[in-house]
Amino acid sequence: MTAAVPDTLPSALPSALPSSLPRPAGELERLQAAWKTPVGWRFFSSVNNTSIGLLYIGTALLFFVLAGILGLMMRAQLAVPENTLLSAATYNQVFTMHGTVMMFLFAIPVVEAIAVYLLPNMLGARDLPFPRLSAYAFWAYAIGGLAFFCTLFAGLAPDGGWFMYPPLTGKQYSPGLNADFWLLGIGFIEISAIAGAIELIVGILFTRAPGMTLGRMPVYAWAMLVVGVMIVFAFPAIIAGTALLELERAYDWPFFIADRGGDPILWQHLFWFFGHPEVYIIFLPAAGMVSTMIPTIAGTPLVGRTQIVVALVAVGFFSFALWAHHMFTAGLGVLEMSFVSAASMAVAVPTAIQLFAWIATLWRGTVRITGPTLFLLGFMFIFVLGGLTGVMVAVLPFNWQVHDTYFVVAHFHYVLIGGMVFPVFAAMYYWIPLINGNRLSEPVARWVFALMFGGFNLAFFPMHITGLLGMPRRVYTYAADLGWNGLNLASTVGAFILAAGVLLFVADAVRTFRKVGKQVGNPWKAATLEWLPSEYYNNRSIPHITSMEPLWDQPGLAAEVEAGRHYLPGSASGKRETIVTSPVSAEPRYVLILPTDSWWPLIAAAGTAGFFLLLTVKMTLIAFACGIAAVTAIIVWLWQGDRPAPIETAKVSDTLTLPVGATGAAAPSWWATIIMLVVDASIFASFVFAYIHISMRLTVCPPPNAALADPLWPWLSGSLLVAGSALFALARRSIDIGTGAGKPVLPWLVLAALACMGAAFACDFNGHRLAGLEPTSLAWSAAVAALLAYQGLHVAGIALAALYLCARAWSGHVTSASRATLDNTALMWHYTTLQGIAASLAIHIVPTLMG
Amino acid sequence: MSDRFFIRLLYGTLPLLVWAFHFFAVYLLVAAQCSPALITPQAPRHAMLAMLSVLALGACATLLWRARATLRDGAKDGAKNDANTPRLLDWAQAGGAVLAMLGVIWTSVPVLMIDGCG
Repeated sequence: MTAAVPDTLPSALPSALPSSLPRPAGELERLQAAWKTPVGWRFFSSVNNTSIGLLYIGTALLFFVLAGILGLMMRAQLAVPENTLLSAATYNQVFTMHGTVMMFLFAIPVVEAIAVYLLPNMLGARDLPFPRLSAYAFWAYAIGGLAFFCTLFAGLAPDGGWFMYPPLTGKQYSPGLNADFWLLGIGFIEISAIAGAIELIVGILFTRAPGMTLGRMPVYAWAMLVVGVMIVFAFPAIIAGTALLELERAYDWPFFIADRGGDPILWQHLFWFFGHPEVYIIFLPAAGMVSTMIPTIAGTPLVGRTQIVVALVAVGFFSFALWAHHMFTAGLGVLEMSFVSAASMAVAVPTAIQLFAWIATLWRGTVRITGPTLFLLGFMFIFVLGGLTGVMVAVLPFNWQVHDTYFVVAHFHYVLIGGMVFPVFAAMYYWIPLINGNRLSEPVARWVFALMFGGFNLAFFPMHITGLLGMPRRVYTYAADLGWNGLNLASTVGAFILAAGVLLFVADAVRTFRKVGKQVGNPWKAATLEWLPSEYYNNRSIPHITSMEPLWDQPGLAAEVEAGRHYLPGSASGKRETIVTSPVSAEPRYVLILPTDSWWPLIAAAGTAGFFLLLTVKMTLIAFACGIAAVTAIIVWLWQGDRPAPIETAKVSDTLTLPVGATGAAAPSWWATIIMLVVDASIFASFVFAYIHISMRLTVCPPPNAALADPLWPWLSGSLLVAGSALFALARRSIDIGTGAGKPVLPWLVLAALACMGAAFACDFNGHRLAGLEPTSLAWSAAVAALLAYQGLHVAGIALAALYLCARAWSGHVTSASRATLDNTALMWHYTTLQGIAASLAIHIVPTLMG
Repeated sequence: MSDRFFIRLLYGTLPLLVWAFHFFAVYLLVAAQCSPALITPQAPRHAMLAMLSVLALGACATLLWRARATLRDGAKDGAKNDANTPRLLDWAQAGGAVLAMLGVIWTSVPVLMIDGCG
C-alpha cells in the first residue's frame, strides 16, 4: 500500500526554532476553539485525553477504595478466631471480589488511565490518535465495572476466587449466576483494556514530538510501550479461557470436565498465561513512573538509562515464561516445572538492574525528602522484600510447602502494593500539581506515608509467619488453638492503619482540588515535557526535541512552546490535529485530523455493557436491544470518520509543510487494525492450544465416538476462502485504478467475496456435521467446535464489515482519499482467510502427528 | 511511514526472541514426549534438548559478539551518539544477548540434572 506521504520530506530537522514571531492574529483563538471542551453535563461527551484520563483515574481509584473496604471486611472477620461477622458464603464472595476488583478494575485500569492522561503531554502530542476509542474503553470499563461490583449487593457476586479454577466454577459446583458474572464481566473489561493498549502503542510510536527518537523517548513511555505489547499477547489467553468456561457452563461443552476428556489444568494454563504477565503489566508502568520521578527528586539524569530500557524489554519477554510457577502443585512434570523455576529466577536479573540503577541515581544526586520521595523509598523497601520472597516461591520444594498459604498472600501483597500502589501514590504526589497547579500538603504527606508504610508492614509481614505456621488462604475463620490469633489480630490492626493513611490522602486530595487553580509551572524542576504549559490541546506548539532531558537541556523550551515558536502553533484545518512522526527517528510525516467530542462512544459502551450483563441474567430481549444500540452507535461513530481531509496540506512551521492525513500503512488506523489482528490471532492460538492440550491427554486421537471431517470439506473451504480473498484484493484494486471507473464495481466484488467466505464456512460446518461432531459428548469434540465457532464469529463480523463497506461505497464515501475502511476491512478479510485455513490444518494435523 | 521500524525492532530484540524460542521449544518438546500417546521409556530425549540449548547458546553468543563489535566501533564514532537510537538498539542487542544467554543456561541446567517425565 502506498502512503500519501511525499518523498520530499526533510531528512533532518531544522536547527533554528521552527516558527517565527509574531504569530498571526487569531491563531491561538482558532486552536482554542477547535479544542474547546464542553462543560456541565455535556462534559461526559468529551473525548480528549485530559478529560478521559482524569475520569479514568478517578474511577480506578474509586474501585481501589471499594476493594479496600472489602479487604477490611476480610480482616475484620479474621481478627479473632471463630468469628461470625461474615458467613462462609459471604466471605467467599468478598475475597473473590476483593481480588478481582483490585486486579481487573483497579490495577490494570489505573496504569492505563495514568498513561492516557500523561503520555500525550510527555510525548509532546496534542492527544492520543484515537480519542473516541479511549472514551469507549473508559466508559465500557466504568459502566461494566460498576454494574459488576453491584452484584455483591444482590448476593450474585462471584465466589470461586479471583482465578476462578474449575471444576469449582463449573456448573456442577457453581450452579448460580455468580461465576457467569465473573466470566462475562471480566472478559468484557479485558476487551476494554486491550482497546486502551492499542491506543497507547500507536500513540507512543507515531505521535511523539519531532526529534524525540526512540533513544530520547522517556523511560515511562518505553515502559508503557512494553506493557502495551504485553497486553496484546497476554490478555487474549484469558479472553479465550473465559469463553471456553462460559461455553461449558452455558452449553455443556466439557472443556474442563475430566469425565468427558476435559482437563481443569487447561484453565490454569490459560489463566496464568495471562495472569503472570499481568503482574508485570502492573509493575512495569510503575517502574516507568519511578524512573521518571527519581531523576527529578535526585536532580540528576537517570543512571543506566539504556540498560533500564533493555531491562524493561527483557522483563516483558521473561514474564511470559513464568505462568506455570503458579501451578507447581498441579501435577506438571518435574522437568517442565524446573524450566519455569529457572525462568522465574532469570526474571529477577533485569528487575534488579532497574533497582540498582535507581539506587545509583539517588546516590549520585541530591535527594530532597518530599511526598514522592517517601513513597519511592517505601516502594523500594517493600518491593525488594516481595521480590525476595518471589525468588523463594520459585524454588519448587519451598513452593510446595507454602502453596495456597498466607505466605503467598504476604508475598503478592508485598509485590503488588509495594510494586504498584506505593509508586502510584508517589506519582499522585508528583503529578497532581498538573491538575490545578496546587501540590498536596507536604506535612500531611509524612503522616499519610507513615500510616500507609507502617500499616502495610504491620498488616502483611505477619502473614509470612501465619503462612509458614500453616494457615491456608481463603479460610473464613480458624480455630483458637492453632497459634495464629495474635498474628491475625496484628494484621487486622495494620490493615486499618493502612486504610487510615488512604483516607487521610483522600481528604488532602479533596482539599487540594478545592483550592483556586494557579499556574502549574514546573514545581519539581523536572526534565520531561508534561511540565510544559498545557491546556486541553496540550501545548500551544509541538516542541522540537533535541535531548533526553528536554526541560533541563533546552531551558527556554517552555517559553518558546507557549509563544508558538515550535511546530503546528495553531489549527491549520480548524479541527483537532496532531503531528504524526516516524516510529524510530520521529521525523514529521503528516498532520492527523483527530475526531472531536461525541456521545456515540458513551452510548456504544453503555450498550455493550448492557448486552453482556443483561445476557448474564437472562434478560435476553433487553440485552439484544442494548447490543443493537451498541452496534448502531459504533456504526454511526465510524460513519462520521474516514472522510477526505478538509485541506490537502498544512504549514506546520516556517519551512515545513506536511500532507494532511494518510492512507494505507501510513495511517494510524491501519496499525491499530494490525495490532487488533495480533490480539485476534493470539485468541485463536489459545483455542488451538486448548485443542492440542486436550488431544495430548488422549491415547487415541480422535477419541472413540468422534471423527475428523472428510478432507474434501476443508479443501473446498480453503479454496473458497482463497477465492474470497482474491476477489477482495480485486475490489481494492478497483479503487487504485481510479475513482470514476472503479467505484461501481467495488461493492459487487465485495459481495461476491462475501459469498465465497460464507460458502467456505458452510463447507466446514457441513464437513463436521457429516462427521457427527457432538460438542457436548467429549472435550475433544468441544475443542473442534470451539475452533469452528470462532471462525463462524469472524465470518459474521466480516459480513457486517462487508455490508458496511458496500453502504459506504454506494454513498460515495470510499475513494482514493478516504479508503481506511476498505484497507482495514481488507486486513481483517485476509486474516479470516488465513485463520480458517490454519484452523483446518490444526484440526487435521494434530491427530496425524499423534499417529 | 516506515523508517525500517520492524528491522530495527528485530535487531534489538533478536537475542530475547532466541531465548523465547528455546524456552518454549524445550517446554513443548518435553510436554509432547511425556504425553500419554507419545511417551516412551526413554522420554524425554535429552539429546534433542541439549542440541536445542547448544544452538540457542551459539546464536546468543554470536549476537553478543556482533553487538559488542558494533558498540566498540560506535564508541569511536561520535556522530552515532547524536540521535541515540542506533546505540540504544546496539545496547539492546548486547544486553538482551547477555540476559538471553543467562536464561538459556538456567533453563538448560535441569536437563542435566533430571531424568524421566516425573
